[in-house]
Amino acid sequence: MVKIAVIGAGVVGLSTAINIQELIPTATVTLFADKFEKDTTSWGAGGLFRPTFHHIKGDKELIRRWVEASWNFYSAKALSSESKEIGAFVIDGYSFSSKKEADPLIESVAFHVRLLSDKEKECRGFRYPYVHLISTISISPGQLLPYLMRRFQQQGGTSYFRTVASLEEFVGKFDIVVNCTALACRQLIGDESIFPVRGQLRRVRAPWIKHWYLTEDDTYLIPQANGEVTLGGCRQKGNYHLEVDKQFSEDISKRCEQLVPGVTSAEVIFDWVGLRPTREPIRVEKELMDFNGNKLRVVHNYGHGANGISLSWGTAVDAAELVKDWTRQMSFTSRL
Amino acid sequence: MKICVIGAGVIGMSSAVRIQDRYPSAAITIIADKFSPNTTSDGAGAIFEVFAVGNTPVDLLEKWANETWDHLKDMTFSVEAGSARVQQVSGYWATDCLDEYSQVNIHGDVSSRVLTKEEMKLFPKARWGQFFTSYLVDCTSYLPWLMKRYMDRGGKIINRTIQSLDELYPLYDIIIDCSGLRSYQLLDDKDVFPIRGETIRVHAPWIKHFYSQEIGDEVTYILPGSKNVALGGTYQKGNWNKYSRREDRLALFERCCQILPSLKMATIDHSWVGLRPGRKSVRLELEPASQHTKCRVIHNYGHGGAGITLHWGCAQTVVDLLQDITNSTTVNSKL
Repeated sequence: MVKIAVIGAGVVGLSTAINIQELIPTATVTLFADKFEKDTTSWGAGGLFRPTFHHIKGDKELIRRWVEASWNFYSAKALSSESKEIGAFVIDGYSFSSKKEADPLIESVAFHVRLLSDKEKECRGFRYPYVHLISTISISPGQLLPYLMRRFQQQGGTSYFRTVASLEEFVGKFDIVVNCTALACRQLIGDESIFPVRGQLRRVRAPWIKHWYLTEDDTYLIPQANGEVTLGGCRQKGNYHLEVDKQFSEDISKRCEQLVPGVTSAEVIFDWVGLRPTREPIRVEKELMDFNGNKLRVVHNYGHGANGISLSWGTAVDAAELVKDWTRQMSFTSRL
Repeated sequence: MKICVIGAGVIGMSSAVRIQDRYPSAAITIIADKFSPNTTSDGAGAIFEVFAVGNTPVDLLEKWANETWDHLKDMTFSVEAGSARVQQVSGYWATDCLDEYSQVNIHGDVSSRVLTKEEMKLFPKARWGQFFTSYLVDCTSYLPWLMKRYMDRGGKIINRTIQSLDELYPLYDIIIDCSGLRSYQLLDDKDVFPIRGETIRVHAPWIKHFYSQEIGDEVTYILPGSKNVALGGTYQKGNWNKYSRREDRLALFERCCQILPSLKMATIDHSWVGLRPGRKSVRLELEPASQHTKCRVIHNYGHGGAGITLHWGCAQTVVDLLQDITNSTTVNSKL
């Protein structure tokens, strides 16, 4: 019986753990993390499924495959009776751009993409060169993360609170370690190519807002499954500050109110900061690590940056396949 | 000039407010037996949707609807949207009826397109459908919003059931009759009839679109309000029953769940019955002057299920008719 450890309980860690359980039913999967649910970076994500090649660097075919797998999984949930439990739902919204063409990545999966006419823009008070009305899905982490954890546990998974200082701790204890520690990879495995892109946002009570809005200057409004709306935001590369910048939160409100006056004076529920763990490209690969002669089979799955929700399931499917590869090698070796 | 508005639903409230807009110093009193949240309007979905209202001329419907559309648009994109709870909502409309008149689509900025094959799967019994963006009004907030505006400008209200207009003739110079279904008794208008609407309100905030399906005479709708989601419906002409019927509730809930399975997991808030004030056509007119009384009457009732869709435009026509009265030299008035 193969013993697998997954480190990290964000949307990537949980999705990967579940995919491993489902691909290798005989394995025991144990999850280790020092941040769960409300403490994870995933928790604050808007959850809107709108990936773009513009923001995701790497092999386009690979990215497209990940997006498609994630879309197939979540869109089916959004249209099913599980919509409420998972926080996955269909939603239309406006993408504001300086380009006439919509990004091919979202165009390849969305239910519908349409360029607004000048008249349509005018009567909504939109002053951008191009606005696309896009029919897509959104998955709110407030429901998604608890759902993923429940599914993981119902399928026999156990989780432990642990701050991992080195992967060496797992040598001899687990057959395979899956590393979904995102930003912590800098210290944990010495990967200096992963960096934070700081995002700040406000959650407000505005259940009358039924569309999402996303501009090129990172002003956005993303309705959540529970009727609250996430207002944002920013992309501050290399910024590690986790404290809320109070002046900036006023700026977020101001920008969102300018775009959507209807959200003015919506009650603020909380302000939040998250560091998007960004790597170019996202790392999904096997590695045989060596600790003074002691080998450790590792699968990496991290660096999703701003697209944790949109890419997590697709990368988790691939990561689970890599874990399965390891198990095949193991059984081959053990028969030698 | 003393003005009385009968009725405090969306028709009465909007008439009163628009009169104030035009005549800021007018002395207006709204007399009604029901105020929000107990009016018929309060239970409405209420989505802006243009459809035939009896024999009401289409050009009038278009005029009133166009004006209401512009008003709802202004409200939605203003800072008042949150207080008045007027929201922009996109959604799906599908039907098995191939007659184009069944959907009177009058606006270029309704932003409609044909439903994709995937989207049509939501409505297996329908033959075609449209996706469009419209406005949805939560009257439980919109009516109080109008009321606040009305009272802040000195408007008065009286909670009373009127048995006959005779009671009012000596007290007021002008009556704006927005009595809705009550006109059946109040004016003995036998052209008025209820159109019974059964609806269930559920808690389902993950639903961000409206869904509207018309298969034969059967109407099914899912309207995502800002406080809950309205499921419906029934359209029972001549049915005066104000009590919820189990078979109607079960049937509409079943139909809605067929479109959106996730509704099975929604918690039920309450069920409600509204009697839409139907009529052979909308009655919006100035009654000819009577020898028996100096009081003039403007009627504004019989909007059926199109109250929200037409209200602001109809209120403007009321103001226009009021203007006609005040312009006439036989009235020595000071508005």
